[in-house]
Parts: sequence; structure tokens; C-alpha cells
Amino acid sequence: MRERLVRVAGGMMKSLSRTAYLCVANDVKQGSSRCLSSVAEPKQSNLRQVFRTSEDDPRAHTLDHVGLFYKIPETEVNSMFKGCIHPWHLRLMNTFNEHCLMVRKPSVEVNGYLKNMNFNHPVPKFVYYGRRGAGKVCSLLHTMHFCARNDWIMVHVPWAGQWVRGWNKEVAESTHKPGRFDLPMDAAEWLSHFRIQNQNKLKDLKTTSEYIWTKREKADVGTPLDEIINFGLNRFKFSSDCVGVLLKELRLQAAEKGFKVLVAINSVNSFFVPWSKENTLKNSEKKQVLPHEVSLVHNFKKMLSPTWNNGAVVCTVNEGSNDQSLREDYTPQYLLGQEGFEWFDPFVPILVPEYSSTEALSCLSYYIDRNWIQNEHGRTEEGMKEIMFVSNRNPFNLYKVCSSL
Amino acid sequence: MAASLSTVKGLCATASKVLAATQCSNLFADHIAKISVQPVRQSMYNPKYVEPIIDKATLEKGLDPDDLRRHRPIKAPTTDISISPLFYDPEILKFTNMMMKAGNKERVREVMRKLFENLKHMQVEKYNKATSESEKAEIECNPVVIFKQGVENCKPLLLVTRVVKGGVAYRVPVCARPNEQRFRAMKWIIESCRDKERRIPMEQKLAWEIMDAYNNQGKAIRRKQEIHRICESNRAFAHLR
Repeated sequence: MRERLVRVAGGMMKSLSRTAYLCVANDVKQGSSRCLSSVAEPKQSNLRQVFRTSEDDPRAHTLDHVGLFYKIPETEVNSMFKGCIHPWHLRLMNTFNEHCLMVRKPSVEVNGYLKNMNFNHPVPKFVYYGRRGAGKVCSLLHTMHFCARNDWIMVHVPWAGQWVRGWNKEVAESTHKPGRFDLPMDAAEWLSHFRIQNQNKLKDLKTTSEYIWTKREKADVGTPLDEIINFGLNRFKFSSDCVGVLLKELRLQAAEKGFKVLVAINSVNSFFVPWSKENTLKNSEKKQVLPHEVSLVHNFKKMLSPTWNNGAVVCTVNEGSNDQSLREDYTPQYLLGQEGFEWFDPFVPILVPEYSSTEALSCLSYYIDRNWIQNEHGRTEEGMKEIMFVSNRNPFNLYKVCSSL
Repeated sequence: MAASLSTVKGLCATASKVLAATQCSNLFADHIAKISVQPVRQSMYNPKYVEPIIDKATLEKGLDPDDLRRHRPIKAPTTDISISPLFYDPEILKFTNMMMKAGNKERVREVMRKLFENLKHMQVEKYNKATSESEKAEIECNPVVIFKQGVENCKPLLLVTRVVKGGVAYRVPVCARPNEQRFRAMKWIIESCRDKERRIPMEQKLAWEIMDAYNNQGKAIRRKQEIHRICESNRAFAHLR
């Protein structure tokens, strides 16, 4: 049974009990979508915590669902979300034997904007920002899920930081333009990621101009995009160029053909901020390769420019992708730097805060339901309060504290 | 002294009998769990110091007007009573300290955290995938219980000491004291993990080892059995102690 309730021991904190009670009240009003099952026990009857919703469609999520977990079907986890979820999170999901995400306010807000947006204007840009471990990536996942259900085409970068660092990586001179550098392996990896995410969506897309790779090899007008991807995967040398071609075609055709494109980039600030000198990318002359010299980054930056429409850009900025010396603040202005901020402007910054008391309680209840918190004291009201206090209700800290209990 | 020696010998003799029959580890469980009481004579505190109040509810009530604590110095609360049961367990603390190298406790605590996480991942996954209630009831999910049972299973009952009599060194089986049992058990678990492949993180190796020990298998258990075997073969020397 999917709809479940967990009764939290009586005598909760005042504010908590009120919000928890409100949740129940909403449930009763909505009736069919979430149902209550209560086993009558004399002392604990009044206070309950709802932590699950049976509403699996992110398009239907409203502010009523904030703080509740919804289930992602197995098929979508293996296609849409492949390589998107953090390893620790995925491991936790596998252990729980179900893939659940919490609906949170920032992503509900962005989804609402995307629902009511006029897409004839240049692409709107949203930036999730917040402290480390606050759930920026999970908010991004929720937005992506929303767009995938609307049959948008996904242009998703799981972690942009990968493209500007790595001291033992293959870096080749660009085949397209001298002075730029290709990352053949990374580009090929992204191409396969793109293909997995957009199965069945690329069928009727064809190129609109001719692309000449070498003297003998070229792609004529009207080549299917699938073939371009295959070419990039077979000839690693040209994989970065294939990415460029793919993105260009998507930009050009989005408005004409009437499909929508979501550009979702995790930790976009690494496109603009050079990584530290020790383990940065180096070219064959052992010189540092700056982010704007990497052809992949160059191509993706074009997706952020307001030159196209019928799409949306949703990004996150992440302290962890910056150099150690540049982690003082978590605001987009600081993290993107002067250049990045100007490139991005105008955009809508969206703060991803730490869990509220209701959300934290719902998360803990979910952990208890999945048998994750084993400590006897941790299952009591007192213990829950202590966990919340120790973790400061930061989602990642909460997970970390609970991981050993 | 003589009396205690004789009891030790007596215990030793009975112990080897038990050993021959089955596992013999639960004998001293009560002794280990006992909280050590600080004797007055060796106390760091001046006798004027009074005990602190730990319970939060009592603290909130406030002190009585004629309470001694109003005008006497108060002892600092010890770790074991002031930390909440979420984060404190004497046995785990002992294990952490034994694994620590060069005072780098932070790192070892991280290893311990991940160890419990790994244990939980192993068991909770089975639990959540189990279909029937009876299956679920069989699976032990609590990592602390698994850890403690694992250590318990590794505890040796007898150990050998070297005794020189008439210019000949004998390996004499002796009864292991509770503290020594615990020390040996933990040491063997840690050492058997340090021997393994270096590329694998310590927390993973420990998780496997403790899971094995929980099921009475693995390197540390074999080491215990080895010691027991030596004791059994040297039982003729038991009187030399």
C-alpha cells in the first residue's frame, strides 16, 4: 500500500504538530489523492505525519505536496535519470527498494513558472543556489522530471566541473578551430548520456546544413541527428564537434519544429571560473587550459545565450566546483564571477533553503518507515529533535547523521 | 591471592571442557558491561565536589533552596552519561580508539560512520526486498547489534602465555580476563582487515569482516579457533600457571 501514515509520538513540538496536523487536514480535503489509514491507538491518535504522496506526476505537484515523497518509476530511473543522481543517493534509493524524491518548494516554484511561461521570448534562465547539501541537484531532478513528462528534449550536464579538471585526461587540439581544445572521452560520454535521456524523441530531427568532418567524410543536409550521435561515438576525434552540431541544430529547430528544450546544467559556475593550477586540464605543452578554451564549454555557453527561444535553462551553482579559495559565499553573483554573471544576466535566482521543520520531520519519518534509522532513541520524538538540531536540518547532513544510527 | 589463583585454575579447567563441547564466549558478558566506578581515593576531584545533574527534566525544575549544589563545586559530567544514546556507546568508542593511528580520531570516526552505514546498507536492502513478514523478522538490521555480536563471537575464552620452567619455555593456556577478551577480539578484527587488499577502503573491509564474525565465520573467528586449538593441545601444561 503506497499511502501510509506514520504516527509520531504524542506531545510534539508545538510548531511541528501544527504543520503536521495541517498536512492531514489538506489530505482530508483532497480526499481521493491521498487517503488516511489510521490504526486507533489511544494515546497517539491526534498527531500524525504524512510523508508520502500518491501523486507520482510532477506536473500535478502543488504547494500542498511540499515536503512529501513521491515515487519515480523504475523505467524512468534507468532512462531519464541515468547518471543524474548522486551515487550516495542512488545507493540509498536502491537500499530502500524504491526511488523517491521529496517535493520541495523551489522546484515547485520553477515548475509553475515553466508551466505558465511564454516561450516566444528568448530563453528564460533559472539558477538554483543554496548552501552545500541543501538539495539543489534534487530540485533540478524534479524540474527535469517535470519537463520529461511534458516531452521536452533534455540537454543535461550531470556535473560541469568534470570538463575543466583532471590531470590525467586526454586533451586534443580542436579539429574545428585552432586555439581550442577537445575532450574526446568526455564529449563521447555526454553524447551517450544525451542519447539515453532522449530515447524516441530524436526520430524526426534532421540537420539543416552540411557539416564537413574531413575531406572524405561529411554529413549532408537532412542527416538524422541519431546518425550524428553515432558518428561522434564511433569517431572520438570528432565527438566534441558532434556535440556542437547537435546543440546548434536544437537551438535552430526548437522554435521551427515546435519542440521544447530544457538545458539543465549542474554547477554551471565551473564554465566561468578557472580551476586551481595543480590538477587542472593541461594541453600537450603542459600549459593550463582555461574553461573558455574547452570546446565543450564553448558550445554549452551558447545554449545560455538569449539567441534562441522555445526552451528553458535551469542551472545550479555549486561552491564545491570552485577552487578552495573561492568558496566564501554561495550566491550566484559570487560564484559565477563577473564574466559569468554578465553572461547569465538576466536570470531568476532561486534559493534552495535547508529543510523546514515539517520537511525534516517528513524525511526522518520516511527513513524510519524504510527501516533506516535503527537506533531506539533516534526513533523517539526526543531523538528526532536532536538529529534535527545536530544536522541543522541540512538535507545532506541529515543523511550523514542518520547513516550511522 | 592464592585463593584467586585457585579459582582461576578451576575456571580454566571447566572452561576447556566447555570449549570441547561448543562455543564458549558468553561467560563474562556481564562483567564487561559493568560500568567502572571511580573510587574515591583515586578521584581527581576534591571530596567537596558534588555530582552533577544530568537529567534535563530535573534541571529545568531548578534547585531546592537547601540543595548542596548551590554552594559547592560540581563535578564535570563524564562522557558516557552526558552524551545522548544516539552518539555514544562504550564498546564502539573502545573500538574507535583501538583503530586510531597517531591521534587521528576524526578520520577513524568517519570510518566508523561509514562502517555502520555499510552494515545497514547490506541488511536493510535485504529487509526491504524481503516479501514475507517471517523473512523480514529474521533479518537483523541494527548495525550496533551486529557489531557487538560480531565482537562477542570473536572473544577467546583461553589464551596462551609463555612460562619458563627449568629452562624450558612452555605455552601455557590461561583463562582470559574479560578486558583481555574484548581487546583480543577487537584487535583480531582490525588486524585481519589491515592484512587485506589495500585498495579497498577500511570501512568496507571491516563491514565484511564483522558480518562474517556475526555469522561465526571469517579470519578473526579462525584466529580465535586457532588459539583455542593450541590451548587444547597444551592442556597438559595448565598446572604450570
